[in-house]
Amino acid sequence: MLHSAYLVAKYQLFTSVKPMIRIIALSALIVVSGCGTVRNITVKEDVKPWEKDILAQRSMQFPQDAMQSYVDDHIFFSKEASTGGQGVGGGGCGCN
Amino acid sequence: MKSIRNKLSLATCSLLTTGNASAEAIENAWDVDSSYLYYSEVDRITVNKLIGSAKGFVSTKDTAAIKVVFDAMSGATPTGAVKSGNPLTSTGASGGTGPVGGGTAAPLADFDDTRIAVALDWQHEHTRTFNLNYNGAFSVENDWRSVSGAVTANKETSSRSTKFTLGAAFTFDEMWRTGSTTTPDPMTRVEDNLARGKGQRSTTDLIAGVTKIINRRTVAQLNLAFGLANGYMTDPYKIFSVVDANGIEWDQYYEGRPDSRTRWSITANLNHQTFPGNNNIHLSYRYYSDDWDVQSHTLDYKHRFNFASTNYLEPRLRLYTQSAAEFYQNSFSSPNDGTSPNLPQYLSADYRLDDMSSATAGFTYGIPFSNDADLRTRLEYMYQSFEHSEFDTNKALIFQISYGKRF
Repeated sequence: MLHSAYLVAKYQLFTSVKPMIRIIALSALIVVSGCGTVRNITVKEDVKPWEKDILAQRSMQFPQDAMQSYVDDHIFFSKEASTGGQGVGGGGCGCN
Repeated sequence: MKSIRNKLSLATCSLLTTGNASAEAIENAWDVDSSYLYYSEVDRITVNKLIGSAKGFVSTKDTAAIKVVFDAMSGATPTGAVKSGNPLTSTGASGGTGPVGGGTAAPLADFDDTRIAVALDWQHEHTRTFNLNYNGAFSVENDWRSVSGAVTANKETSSRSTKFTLGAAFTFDEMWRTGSTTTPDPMTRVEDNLARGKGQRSTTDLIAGVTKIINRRTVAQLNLAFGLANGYMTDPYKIFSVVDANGIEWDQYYEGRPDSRTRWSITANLNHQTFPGNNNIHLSYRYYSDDWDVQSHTLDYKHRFNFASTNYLEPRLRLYTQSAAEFYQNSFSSPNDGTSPNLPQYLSADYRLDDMSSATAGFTYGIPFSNDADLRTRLEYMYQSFEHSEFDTNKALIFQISYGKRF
């Protein structure tokens, strides 16, 4: 009887701790991963012209996709009170 | 062979933007892009949009671009009227919404409109690190005409690790109600049908920006934007209800807004390619403020997963929140005792000027082809929630498919 109670208590502890450990482990992983990414983003380097292969990719341009950016500007300008911030020119519309 | 040469040229010579790439290195390179958008709100507006663009070098130092846009819009849109005491929907004029020529407006009005817009760009490289971009655009709708011009200067440092941008644009808009050449007299009774001539507005926009290479995998951008608009700022189709103590409408008035608006915003953009995953992070934040007392925060995050096949999947989450304009009210409360309501100078029940929170989520799937072409498809869902508006939510589906080719 005592042994059964001990097992139940141990099981309850296990089931209650396990998700917590999972959450902590996941959080730690995100934090570590996030820290690594933040470090990679913030470390300043003197980039030589022959090292700009990644920066020259389309996905690294502002904007990444001109068509998508143009459509976004139009949609959100039509549906929100604020606009601008990415450039000037291109004309207006009567949607807002 | 030409394709490989273009890629090598792009990789070695293009630094901060493709638009600044050395003309000599990518001579005769042309980009052609096309896109179709299907935008549909639940029980509201549907938009079909077609876009075509072409951009290429016309000399060793000059780039030209043209973009043509066609929009077809139809559906129902809120007029500003309250639901109580009104049928939900009325038929508005083609190209516009709400009452034209007196009468009363329902909370929702049907409308349909088309828009054609053309934009031309010309960029001249004055030196290796300095170029000027000229832009001209016009657009025409059934009830709107807009023409604009812009000049943007881009100056890079000698190492080409930092770019400074300074831009100015001027836009002139003219608007009227479909079926007439007039706009309603702001803050007057709908039933009285008092009209003015066409509305005119001029807008000046300025932008100053810095784009900085942080490291081999990161580039950041900071933009400061300022805009000043003067003229007719009122929506000629929007009205508001005058209601009694029980919220029952007993009259309708055309809305009225200030005749000037000053906006400014600060926007930070970041592009990063992760290591060792080689995925892309795009992060953007904007703070916006204007003298109508609207402040907003916009956070936009995209994470591109690049597959070995060169296809990519890019989930996206955009969060937006704004405060209401100082003259926004869902309706105006006044006793129905035979006297005119004591209205403020400005009042609008346009839901887009209300306190608002919005989330847009979805993904883009991209397929690059071996012949320098690519196909991008995106599907997103937008949810807007309003604090005081008669319609407290707006939900929309966004589907866009684009095909681009480089020659």
